[in-house]
Amino acid sequence: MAVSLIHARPSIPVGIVVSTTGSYAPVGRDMHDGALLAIRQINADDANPFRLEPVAADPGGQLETYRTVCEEMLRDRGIRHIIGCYTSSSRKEIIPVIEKYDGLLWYPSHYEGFESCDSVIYGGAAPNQHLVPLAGWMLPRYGTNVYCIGSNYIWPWENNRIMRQLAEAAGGRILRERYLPVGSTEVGEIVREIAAMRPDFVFNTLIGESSYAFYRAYHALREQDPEFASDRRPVTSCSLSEPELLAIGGEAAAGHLTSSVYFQSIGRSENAAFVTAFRAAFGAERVTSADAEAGWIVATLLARAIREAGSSAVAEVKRAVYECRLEAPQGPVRVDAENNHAWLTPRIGRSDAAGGFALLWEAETPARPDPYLARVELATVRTRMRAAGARLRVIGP
Amino acid sequence: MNADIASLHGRRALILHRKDRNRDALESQLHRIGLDVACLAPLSEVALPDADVIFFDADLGYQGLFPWNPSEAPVPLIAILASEAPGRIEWALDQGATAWLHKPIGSTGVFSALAVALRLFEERRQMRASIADLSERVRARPIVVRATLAVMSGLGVDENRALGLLRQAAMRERVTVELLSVRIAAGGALAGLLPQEAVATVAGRTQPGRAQLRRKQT
Repeated sequence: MAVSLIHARPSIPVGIVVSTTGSYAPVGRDMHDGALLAIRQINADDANPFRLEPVAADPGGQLETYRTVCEEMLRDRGIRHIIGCYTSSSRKEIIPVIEKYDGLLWYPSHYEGFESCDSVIYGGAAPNQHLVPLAGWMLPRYGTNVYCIGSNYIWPWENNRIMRQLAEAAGGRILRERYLPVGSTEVGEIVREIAAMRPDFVFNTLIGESSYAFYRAYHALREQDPEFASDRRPVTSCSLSEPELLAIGGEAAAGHLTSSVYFQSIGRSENAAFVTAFRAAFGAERVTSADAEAGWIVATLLARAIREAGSSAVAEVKRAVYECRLEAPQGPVRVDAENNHAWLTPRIGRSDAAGGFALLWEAETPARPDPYLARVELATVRTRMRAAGARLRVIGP
Repeated sequence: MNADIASLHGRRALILHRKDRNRDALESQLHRIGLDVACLAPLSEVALPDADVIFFDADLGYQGLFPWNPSEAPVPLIAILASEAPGRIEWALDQGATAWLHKPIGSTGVFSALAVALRLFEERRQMRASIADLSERVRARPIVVRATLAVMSGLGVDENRALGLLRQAAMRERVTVELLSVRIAAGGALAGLLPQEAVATVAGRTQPGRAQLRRKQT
């Protein structure tokens, strides 16, 4: 339903399809709340000649339900813009429906890349914006022998494949690649193997409870053996976020490195305003995360594009969104007209026991999204290794 | 499986994929084309039923899904993919997939995927056989050289003639040149190499080794 903006503040329905129950509910809740916060802010601003009406549905992590609720929104309710999906499998499930009804999916999550769909605006990090920077940070500083542990599905498989390429290009190798079924907390054997193999660092792509159990078990190991202290052999990831640090709890949550385009600790006034508004809306105990920020970004971009286009029609909104320049909590954000992914600012942070991240590094400018990793030069990794070589020898044992 | 795409009727297709719209679309399209279809999901430890062609979910496939070694698939394999992540594509290729179907599966694409898979599977099978044969010959090359030298000196002929005699004899005895060479290199008689007409031809010419050749024939 294309809404013309001649009348006073017409209401434009926007679907929010994320799983706020089920196995990855905490992430879904963050994305939902980030989007809802943006919508409330848009509606509170009389400068917007329209209101967004959030229509939320919770597929509970069930693939089939993603498709049916989206179909119902697009076909029966005339909704054209849907903010939603966390897992790639759910996104792949609804893209055909979005395309069939000429809708537009605003996807608020980082993912493994290798997709560029005309009917999707990708608001989260592509692997060149978090995984490649993580490898670029870790390999020269800690070493090139990497231990990979992940949940058994496509996001970890693909991340580990890329990490292997980068480590091998740097002259190193993946010591072991281990997978646990989603939801499993049987991490004991893996931690024993890490203790025996002594990798330079661990790359963790476990999700949810599996990941929390692993961080706790790894903490027990480093308490026992200073060889595994967080400044010697840290655990790294591209997904560990502030709410998860609280879920892991206490000292076990501290000392891990994460590559992300957003941390709650970013010192921008836009971020301070975001954190304050988020807590005012959802509770003083809440923390913000990359998922919440991505939800906020896609909803805000959607509203900006509708305002610029003077219409909610998909084709016009898409044309307009490429022109939008958003000062997001993380920094300037825009959508690349070539591949529909966002330009985002890579960062590396170290977790602390208070549930936050200390910033170790951030890119000077937003990184161009490269979902097919077509512009990643493995030679660059080698050059960085050489550049870091002298320094490493100086501080080495 | 017969690579002829005109004779698909009654061929057995196996689909390894969870039940959803994609599988339903594929199943009904295969029925329309004329195949018998069996579906299996979730992919589990159960033995795979016999099939002439297998469609499999490459998004969820795992090491050990198929009971054969990677690249030794006994039937054409067609990968069903939603993800284009290189790791998944690589895995599907490692299994020996020769064609692809992208989700969402509709009424077009299934038949051409079948045609491509059958054709490439057959070409690959023939290529493998021919490579195996050539490898065998390359391995036997030193033996053939030794046998040729034995014929040259034993019968007093030049290299081309010696090779020609070996080939003709191999053809007469319905063995490979390599096998015959093994026999000769192991001390087998050279006499049987020469057919009667060859003896006449060789004997009628004046060329080096003629006397020796005649002497050997008598």
